[in-house]
Amino acid sequence: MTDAKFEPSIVAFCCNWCSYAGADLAGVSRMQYPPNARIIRVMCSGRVEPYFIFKALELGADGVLVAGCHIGDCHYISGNEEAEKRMAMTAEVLDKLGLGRDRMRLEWISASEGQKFASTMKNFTEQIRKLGPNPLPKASPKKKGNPGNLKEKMNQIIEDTGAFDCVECGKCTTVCPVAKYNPDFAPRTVVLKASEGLVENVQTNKDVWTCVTCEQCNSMCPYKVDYSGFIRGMRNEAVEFDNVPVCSQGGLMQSVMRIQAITNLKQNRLGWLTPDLKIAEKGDVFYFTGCVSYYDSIFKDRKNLNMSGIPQAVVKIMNKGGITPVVSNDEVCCGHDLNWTGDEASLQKLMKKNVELIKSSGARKVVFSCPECLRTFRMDYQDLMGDFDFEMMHISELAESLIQEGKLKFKKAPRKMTFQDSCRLGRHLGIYDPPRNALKGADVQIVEMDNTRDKALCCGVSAWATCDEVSRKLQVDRLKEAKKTGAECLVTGCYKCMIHLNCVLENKTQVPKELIDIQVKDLSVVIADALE
Amino acid sequence: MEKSVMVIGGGVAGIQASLDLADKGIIVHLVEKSPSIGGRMAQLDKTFPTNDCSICILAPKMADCFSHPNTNVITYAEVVGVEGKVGSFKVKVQKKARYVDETMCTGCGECLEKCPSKVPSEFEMGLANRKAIYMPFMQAVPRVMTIDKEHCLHMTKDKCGNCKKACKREAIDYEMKDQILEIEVGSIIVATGYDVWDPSSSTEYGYGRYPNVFTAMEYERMINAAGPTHGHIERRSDKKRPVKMAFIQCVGSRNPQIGHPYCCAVCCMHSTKEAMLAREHHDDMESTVFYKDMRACAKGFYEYVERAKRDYGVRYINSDATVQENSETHNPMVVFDVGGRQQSEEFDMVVLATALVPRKETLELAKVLGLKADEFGFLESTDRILNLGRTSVPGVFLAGYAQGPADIPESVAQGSSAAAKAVEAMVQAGA
Repeated sequence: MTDAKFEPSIVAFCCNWCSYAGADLAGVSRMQYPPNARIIRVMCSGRVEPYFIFKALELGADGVLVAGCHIGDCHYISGNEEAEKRMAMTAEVLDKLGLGRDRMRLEWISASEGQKFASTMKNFTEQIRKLGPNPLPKASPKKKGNPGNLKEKMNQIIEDTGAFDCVECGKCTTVCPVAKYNPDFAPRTVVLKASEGLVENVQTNKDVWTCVTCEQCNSMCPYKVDYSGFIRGMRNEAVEFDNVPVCSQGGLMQSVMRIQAITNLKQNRLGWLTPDLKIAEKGDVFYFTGCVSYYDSIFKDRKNLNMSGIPQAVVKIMNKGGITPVVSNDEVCCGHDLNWTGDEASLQKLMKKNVELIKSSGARKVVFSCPECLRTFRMDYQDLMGDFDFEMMHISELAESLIQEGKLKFKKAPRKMTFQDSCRLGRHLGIYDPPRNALKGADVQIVEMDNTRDKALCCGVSAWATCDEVSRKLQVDRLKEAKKTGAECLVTGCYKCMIHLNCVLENKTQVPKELIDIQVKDLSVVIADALE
Repeated sequence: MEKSVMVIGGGVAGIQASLDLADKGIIVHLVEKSPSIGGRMAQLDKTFPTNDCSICILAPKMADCFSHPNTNVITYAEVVGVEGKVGSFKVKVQKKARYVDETMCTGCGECLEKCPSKVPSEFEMGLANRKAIYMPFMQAVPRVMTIDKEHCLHMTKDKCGNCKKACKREAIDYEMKDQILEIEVGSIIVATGYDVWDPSSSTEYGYGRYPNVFTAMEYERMINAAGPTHGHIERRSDKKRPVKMAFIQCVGSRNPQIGHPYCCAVCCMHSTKEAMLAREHHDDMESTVFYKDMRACAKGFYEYVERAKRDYGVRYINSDATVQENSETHNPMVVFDVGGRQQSEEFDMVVLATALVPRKETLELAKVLGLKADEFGFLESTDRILNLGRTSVPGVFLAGYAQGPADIPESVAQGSSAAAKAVEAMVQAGA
C-alpha cells in the first residue's frame, strides 16, 4: 500500500487549553514534525462530535486526530471523558464500516508536552501513510438547484402526489402531531404555498423539514393527497438550495449510511451473532437486519437499549421455527433515512447492492425486523425497479404464521403489554394485526392506548432529522398514554420508536417520572424471551 | 289491461309518486320493506328551511296514500323477482309474515304492555327500546302491530304467548307464513332512499368510543318531542343537558378515501337546522358548525344560514374537524384548523353529519330489475341532465335519494316526475 508519493492529509482537532498550546510549544521550540495536519482549534475535545470525524473523512481527509487535556485536567471538568466515550464509539463504527479505527486517533497532550505533540504527529502521519489514501471517493461537487425550473419541478411533485386535489378542509392539521405543538406548522399550508407557486418552501422555509412523515395526514385526507410523498419530493429539491435539515447526532447517521452507498468496503456488521444462533450463506429465507449493528455501537451508552438483542431475538425465533436464515455481512443500509432527507441518489446506489445481494443468496423470502427497511423495499425499491420475485415480510408477520402453524411453543407467563404501531409498520404498510396476534400467541394480553392502530401517535422524529422540543412533547404524550394503560411495558416493532422513546426515559424531562415511567421493549425480544 | 304501477319504497318520494298516480285513476301497488310507510322523513324532527314539523306535514300524506281507493299499500314486503317488459311486468313480491292479521289489528297497544322482550328501536336509532311486538312509531301507517320473530320469545323459545292472550281481537297468528304475491303492472318506480353511514369505522371522530358523540339522525330523534328523550337533549355519559354543541359536516362524505366522494346535499342545511333547534329548546345553547364548504344553494337556503348566525348565535368555522376526548369529563374535544393553525376546543356534545349512502338492498333490487348503479352506488338514469329518473330499462323509473343526493322538496318533485313518466310509458306501450 505504501506509496512514495502519497502525502496523507490529516485533520487534527486540538483543544484550546492543552493540545493547541502543546502544538504552539512544539512550534516555538522549533521541533520538526510532518506538515500533513491541518489543525482545527476547538474549545474542548468534548466538543468533537463523532460526526466531525466522518465529515472530515467524507471531505477527503486520510486521517483524523483528536487531542485534548489529560484525564483529570479538563478545563470543563469532564469534557475529555465525554470525548473518550465518543471516540470509542467512533472507532467501533469505523471498524464496522470497514474504514478501520486506525484512521482516527485520540491523544491526550498537555500544554507542556510539545515533544509529545510532535512525536504524535510524526507517528500518526506514518500510520496513515502505511494505511494509504482514504478509500472514500472524492466528494463530487454538490448539485446546485436551478431556480428557473423549480416551479416546474414543484408542479410535477404536486401532480404526482395528488396535492392539486387538496380542498383545504384542514383535516390534516387536526390530526398532525407536529401542528399540535407547533402552531406555525400545518400540512395544508405547505401544500397551499406550493400550489400557489411559491417556491419559498423549497428554497428557504424549514417547514419541509418540520414534518415527521408519520402519515397521519395521508391516512385521514379525504382526497387521498400523498402528503408524505409530497414532502419527500420537496426535500429532494430543497437540499439543492442548501435548505437542509438539522440532523440528529450532527448528521452522523446520514454520513454512515452515505459511506455504505459510495464504497464497497468489507464491513464488520455481524458482531451481534452469538454461537448458538444458526445462520446460512444461502437459503430460502434472508433476514435483513437493517442498521441495527451500527445503532448498537452508536447508542452503546444507553443502558436500556440493547440493540444487538433484536437481531439475536429474530434469529432465535426463526431457528425455533425451523428456519435457518441467510444473514449477510455484505448487506448495506436500505437508504430509508437518506431518501427521506433529500438524497434519493444514495438510495438508488444502496438499492442496487441490496437487491443483488438478495438475488445472489437465492432467497425467496426476505424478513425484516425494521419496518423502515420493509417500507423501503416494498414501496420505494419496487417503485423504482418493478416488482421483485421474492416475498417481503415483517418479523411480526413471520412470527404470526409460525405460531399459527404451531411451530413456536411459549412458556406460560401471562403479561399485560401495550403495542406502539410505528408509522412505517402501521400507516405506511398497513400491518396492524400481525404484531398483536404474535404477542397474543406469546401469552401477552394487549391493552390498547387511547390512540392506537392508524391513529397511533408518533415517536417524534423520523429519518434522524429535526429532533426538537416538539419531538420531546410527542414522545412524552405517547409514554403517558402507554403508562395510563397499566401495561407492564410498551412493545414496538420499530428500531426508531425504541430508540426515541427510550431517549425520553433516560433523559431529564419536566414531566414527573411516574407519569411516563414504562419500559419500552422490542417485539422480537418479547417474543423470543417467551419461547420455551 | 288495467293501468297499474308498482312503487317500490314508501318514503316521501314513493308516497308522492303513488298519490299522483292514484289521483290520475291509476292503480298503485306501493311496496314498503319496513312495517310502516313514511321513510326517513318520518324520523326527522323539523324540515328546513321553514322549520315545519316533519311528521306533521308527512302524516296526512301517509294517511291519504294508504286510504286512497286506488292504492294498495303492501308493507313489510320486498320485491324478489320481475319478469316481462313495460306494459306488462309480472312482479313477485315477498310479503313477510308479520304474525298479526292486518285486517283485525287496531293498533290499540295492549299487546305491547305484555311483551317482555326489549329490542333497540330502529326508528329511534337505538336510543330507545321497542318490544318484540311493535309499531315502529306512533303515526305508523298502516296502524298495525308487527312481531319481530328474531326477538319474540314465543317464536324463538316457544315460551310466553302474552300478546296472543292480551289481544281481544284475536289478531295474533304465530303460524302465519311469508306470502309470495304476483302482481301485474305496466311500469315500476324505484324510490328506495338512502342509508345512514356508520361513522364508527372512521376512528378520528370517536363515534362509538366517546359517549357524547352522536350522529345527526340520533340527534333528530333526541330533539323530537315524541322521541326517546321526549325532546330533551341528553349526553350519553351523564344524561346532562349540553350547552356547547359542535356539529361536524362531511363525516364520511366528500371523501374518496372512504368511498363516498359526493356531497350529500342536505347536511349543511340540516346541521344549521339542528343548531337552530338547540337554541329554540334552550336560550343558553351555543352551537358551532364545522364545515368544509357552505353548500346552502336553493331558494331561501343561504338566508336560513344567515338567520342561524344572526338570530340563533350559531358560529360557523370553515374547517374539517376531528374529535378527541377529555377522559375525565367525557367532554369531546374538537380539533380544527384556523388559518393553518391547529386549535382545539372542548364541547359538551358533538353531532356528526354522517354521509347518506346508497342502500345495499337497493343494489340487490337493481340486479332483479336489471338497473345500473353509478360510480357512487346510486341508481343510474339514462341521462343525468335531461332525463333524470329514466333508467335503461323501459318502464322502470327512479325517484328520490335512491338515484342520488336529494333533499325533501327535490325528492317530492322527482316522485311526481317519475309518476308522469310511468304513465307515459304505459300509454306508449299500449297498456
